[in-house]
Amino acid sequence: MDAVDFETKSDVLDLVQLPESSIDEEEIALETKNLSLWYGDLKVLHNISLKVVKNAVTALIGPSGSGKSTLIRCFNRMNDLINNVRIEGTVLLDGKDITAPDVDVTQLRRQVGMMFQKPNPFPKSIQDNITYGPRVHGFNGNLYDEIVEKNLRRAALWEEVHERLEDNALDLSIGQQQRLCLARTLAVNPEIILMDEPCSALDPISTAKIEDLIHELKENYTVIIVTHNMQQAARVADYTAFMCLGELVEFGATLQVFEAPKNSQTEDYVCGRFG
Amino acid sequence: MPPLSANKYVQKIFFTLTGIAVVIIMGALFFLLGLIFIRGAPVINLEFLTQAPRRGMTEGGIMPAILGTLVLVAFAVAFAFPVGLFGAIYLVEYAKEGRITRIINEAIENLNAVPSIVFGLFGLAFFVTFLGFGRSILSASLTLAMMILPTVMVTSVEALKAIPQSFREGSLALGASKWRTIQDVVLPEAFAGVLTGVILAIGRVAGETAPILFTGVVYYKYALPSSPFDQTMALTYHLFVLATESPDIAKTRPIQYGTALVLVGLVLLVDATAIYIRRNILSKRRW
Repeated sequence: MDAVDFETKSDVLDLVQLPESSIDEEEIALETKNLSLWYGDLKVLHNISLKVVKNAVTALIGPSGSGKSTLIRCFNRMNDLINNVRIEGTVLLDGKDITAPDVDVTQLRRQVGMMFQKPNPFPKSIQDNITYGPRVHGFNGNLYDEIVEKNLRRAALWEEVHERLEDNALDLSIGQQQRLCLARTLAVNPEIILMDEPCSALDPISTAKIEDLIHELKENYTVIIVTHNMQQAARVADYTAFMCLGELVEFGATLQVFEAPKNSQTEDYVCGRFG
Repeated sequence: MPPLSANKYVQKIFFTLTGIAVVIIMGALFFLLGLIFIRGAPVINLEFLTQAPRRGMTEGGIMPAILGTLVLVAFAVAFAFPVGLFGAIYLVEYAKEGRITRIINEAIENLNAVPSIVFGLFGLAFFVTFLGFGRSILSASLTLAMMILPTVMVTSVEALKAIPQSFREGSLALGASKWRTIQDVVLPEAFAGVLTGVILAIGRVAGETAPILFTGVVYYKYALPSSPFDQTMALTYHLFVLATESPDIAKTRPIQYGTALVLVGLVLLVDATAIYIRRNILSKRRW
């Protein structure tokens, strides 16, 4: 290897031990094929083809307005709430196209849970927040106490709130509220958890707690996280997709996207030159 | 200096004018309420509130009229509340913003602007004659219900719109259906606003005469109504009859003031309840 010529950047990069982009060998939880989306006449997503690896964390990064949130809202059909949305292409979950009109969205959303930018617990008690989902899906046993404890523990919130489960969820701190929203999402046993900038309203300590949780979550769940924060993507994600102006510019293992981006636009973004 | 003092002068004039306006408003209100109270209070006693009128309505009490007004209002709310609330839910939660919602909104506004006597005539033509309910509590309260429908609906719409979208998203994202979301997350939070609308409507409808004039009230009825198809006395109409058509108007004057006081007191009580409940619920609200 002595003879390596360091003149060009690509030669340097060849030396870095990059994990082979082996997405195709992994088990896929969700896949989009040529997904395009319009709000009225405005095309917001352009032919997105993306594979989300099972039991891994996939981050969507990119500047504001790049379509990250719109994309993950295709995965649980939350775009249905908006008028004049048109979709082309497919989103496959368990081999089934979930953009089809006959899909039962309530069942889909149980499978694909979501956390929002601003914590949005219901103005109900802490325990009612957790049991709401199971109740909605027809769980009627007397295991509610168990469900509450199990899911609060999973969200690392149990120790802080177990003595005040009857209290209104909105009395919690913002960071606790966001973990409660996670617990609430976990209570319906989803397979995939969508996180739409879950830490953007949180302080650094609460953010760290959520990031720790994300690491633990991937053992049992597939996580897709939208973030503005590139350090966050680098810290939590196994795979990273860089989006810009509604296009998927680059997608690969996080290390590769950050250390050796193939696209110059990606490089500019991850180096902080724009965005 | 001169322009400054001229400014000051103008300012003073307008301050004075605004002050006078306030004095006129408050003065009119206090004069009206004061007069009714001073002239009406002496006749109010247990007998007045619990007995039927006697001797050509120159003696006795106004109990059948109080009861009649309460019954009419209760029926009117029972009809208008579900329709108004469901209409509001449709408008806010289901209808897509556009031509249809605009037409509905305009229709409600226009309904609200229809003079009450027109509602009365409509009630006579539609409920009394066409549907064959006759002159009855049913016809009268349905007519009142038509009148308060816009109030109930508009306040319900406002109450529903005040619920943050993020609550709905949270529920839908867990896989709750739209109706489940409305029922479990939206309506409990919108309750204070809806209730306020209903109570304000009660306050308004209790004081109406024209809509019930042709549709179900009588100036005197010995027996209390026993079915929705009976006619009834009502405070407003009782007052009207006492003041214009009773055999001895001068002799009934104290009773007129007493009746007016009871009516005003009832409406103020209802409105105060609305304010109290609203404040109570809003103070517990954390969003």
